[in-house]
Amino acid sequence: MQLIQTVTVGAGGAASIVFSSIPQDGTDLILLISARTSLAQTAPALLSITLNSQGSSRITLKALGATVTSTSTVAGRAIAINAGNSTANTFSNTSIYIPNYTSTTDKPASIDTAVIANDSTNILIGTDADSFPLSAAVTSITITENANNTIVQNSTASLYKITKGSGGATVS
Amino acid sequence: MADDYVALANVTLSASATTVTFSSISGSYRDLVFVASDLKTTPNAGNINIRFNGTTTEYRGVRMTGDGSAAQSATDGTDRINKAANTPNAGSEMLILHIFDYAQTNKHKLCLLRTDNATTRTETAVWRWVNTAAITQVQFFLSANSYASGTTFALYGIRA
Repeated sequence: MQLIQTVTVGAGGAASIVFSSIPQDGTDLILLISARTSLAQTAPALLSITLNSQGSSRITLKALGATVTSTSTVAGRAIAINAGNSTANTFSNTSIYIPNYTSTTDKPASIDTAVIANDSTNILIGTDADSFPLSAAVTSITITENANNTIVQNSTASLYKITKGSGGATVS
Repeated sequence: MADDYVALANVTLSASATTVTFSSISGSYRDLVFVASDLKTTPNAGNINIRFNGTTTEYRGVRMTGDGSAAQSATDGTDRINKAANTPNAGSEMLILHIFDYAQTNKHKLCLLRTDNATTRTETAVWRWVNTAAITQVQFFLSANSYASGTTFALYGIRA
């Protein structure tokens, strides 16, 4: 696994985090995010993630406080993160695995998210099954807050590539 | 700097197959990670099964599943690791199997199994293989159906 790029949000925050010109010599991608938004609420907020500007459909399984739910969404925001009025110094963590990112077929993604706070009703753990209808290799990834809020300073995102091996298995 | 996430094997099926076997796995790593993608079966009914070293006893697990409308959990104790049956071809299905301390001979083996299909469900499970033997073989198999051509299985070793 090799690091492609790390983006760290500076003073003043950022509307989005962008990875562009993603090298095409790997097999899978892993994106690790630590983020918080300026949105003035205590409940978890949501960021959107797009591949080549394309959103996804998804099935979500999450526990928010003591409540477990599963929802199905077509397009819309995806990643739960700590909001601006949540416990200070707490940033959510998200792991996104995208296999076969250079293929010309739809891109599935496996997403794990954790949002932590002192307020037990706003603690969240979630798993998402995503599918991006993208019949092209992934060349860019964009993580976006909405127009009126920012991803705050010290949020980070690191993109890694994994390169497959060959052989080593028997098929019957 | 050496890559500590080492690609060990990879196969893309050129024809349908009932079993994909990784054998003679080196004991040189801390953990193993298997990634299956473009996972489809013929016919469209996937209850993917996994066994270690060909053993048919003592796999125990718990899974939580979301299908887009309901969240469920279930325990399982059986002769294989498996995921809840679904129709994998309905979407683009992927699987990640992370086996911790697979080569250690002083502990039972714990693994996390994640299967995701944005059309049918997301599922996370933890399984215990009640055996202290080092894992040298991993089989992915289907009882009645076949993995379809184009399904890919990859194996990675994580260095300690």
